[in-house]
Amino acid sequence: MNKIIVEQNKFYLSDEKVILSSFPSSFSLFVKGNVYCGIKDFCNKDVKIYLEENSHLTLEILIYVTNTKNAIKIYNSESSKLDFYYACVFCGENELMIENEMTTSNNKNQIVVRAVENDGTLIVKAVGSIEENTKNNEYVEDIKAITKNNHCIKIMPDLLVKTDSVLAVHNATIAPVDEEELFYLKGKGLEESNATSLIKEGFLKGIIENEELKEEF
Amino acid sequence: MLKIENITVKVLDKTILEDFNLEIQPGEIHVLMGQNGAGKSTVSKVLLRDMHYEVVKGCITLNGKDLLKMNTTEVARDGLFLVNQNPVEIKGVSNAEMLRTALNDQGKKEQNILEFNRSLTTLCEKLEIPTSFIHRDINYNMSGGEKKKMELLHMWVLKPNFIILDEIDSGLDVDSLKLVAKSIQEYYESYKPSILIITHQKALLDIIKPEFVHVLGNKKIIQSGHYELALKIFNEGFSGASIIDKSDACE
Repeated sequence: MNKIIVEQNKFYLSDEKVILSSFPSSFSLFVKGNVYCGIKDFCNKDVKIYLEENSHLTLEILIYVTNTKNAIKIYNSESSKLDFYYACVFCGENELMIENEMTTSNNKNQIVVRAVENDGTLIVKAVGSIEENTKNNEYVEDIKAITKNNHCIKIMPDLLVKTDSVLAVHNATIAPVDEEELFYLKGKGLEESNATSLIKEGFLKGIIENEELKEEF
Repeated sequence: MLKIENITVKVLDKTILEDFNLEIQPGEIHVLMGQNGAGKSTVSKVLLRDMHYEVVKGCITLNGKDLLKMNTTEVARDGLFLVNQNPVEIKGVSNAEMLRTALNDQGKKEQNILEFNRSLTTLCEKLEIPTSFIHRDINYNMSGGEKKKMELLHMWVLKPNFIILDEIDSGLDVDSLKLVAKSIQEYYESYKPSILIITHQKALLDIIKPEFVHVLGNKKIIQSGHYELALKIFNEGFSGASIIDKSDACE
């Protein structure tokens, strides 16, 4: 049977699938085994994620943010894996800080961020440090945003690689709604506003697997 | 009815079509042929009001309306439907979601979700597409053949009265081509739309027999005829049939 143990802002997740919606502003997630965690509410949070040896965490966050600063720090033990998907609509002034410090070997972390502007600014700072004397680590950052104005989002990737035995990739794209996609949907008779909404929503939901998160969004 | 009169079309200051004319009456099937780069797909993009294609001269009327004063949504709502050579993939937007929005936006009576899904399931079976494709992202991770079949599924749902098939036969295996062509023929017999086919292949025209065939070269229609003209081109090529000189082709 699944269970979550909560102790003084510490969440212990072990071999389970869970949707979380209520957190303190600062907390830690301790992950053991194979865990899926979906998060509905994630505004002004400071979270530390500790992945135990051989653990695998799939973390999905699908949210609206307004004047929000979120910070996430990830710590891998040997042979752990993180698939992190963060999808948001933002308005007001927002920041997302992701730090991943890999001091062990054989880890595979994937950080995927999708953001859609709804009149506001967003700064995404993603720092990946792969330390000396580590081997066979994989680190991928894939950050994309749909904006009305390219100046409203800043993506600051920072890959600090101190070993040769690593695969580290960073991809960042900031663009308005894809014209070809818009033309295709309008060509089926959709109003431009509805076509745009569908594309933006699809852009966010496209990285999220969990139906409950998608439906409630 | 579609009437294109003396249009000149430019893309980034390059002239693609010049003094181009074409008239298609309701229920007629026309074929547009021409060498690669002749500008056949430009015709379809102009008709669907892709704003990258600038019509600098001439006029186009669709069902009596000035098409050049309409936008893409309005043209589509007026019944024009384009099956692209390579339909775009849209991640996160399902076929069902798009079709329901399209029907709502077109002011068609909202269908009960169950009925709507049932009708899509029937169409999937008819087109030999897995029913799961209804809820899959538009064209995402689908083969060329599956994409073309999904376009036909969209056609059956949206019920257009003017269809442009831009190389729908490209990338289809023999069985899929037959199935696609038969589905179009069945749609034609049910709703009698006008159809403009852009193709290089004979196999499609063996099933959907066109009444009129036009050859595009030197930026305009340089020859028109009936099905026999298409056969001559399939047998002898454009040069062999003395229809077009290679220097006429523009990329």
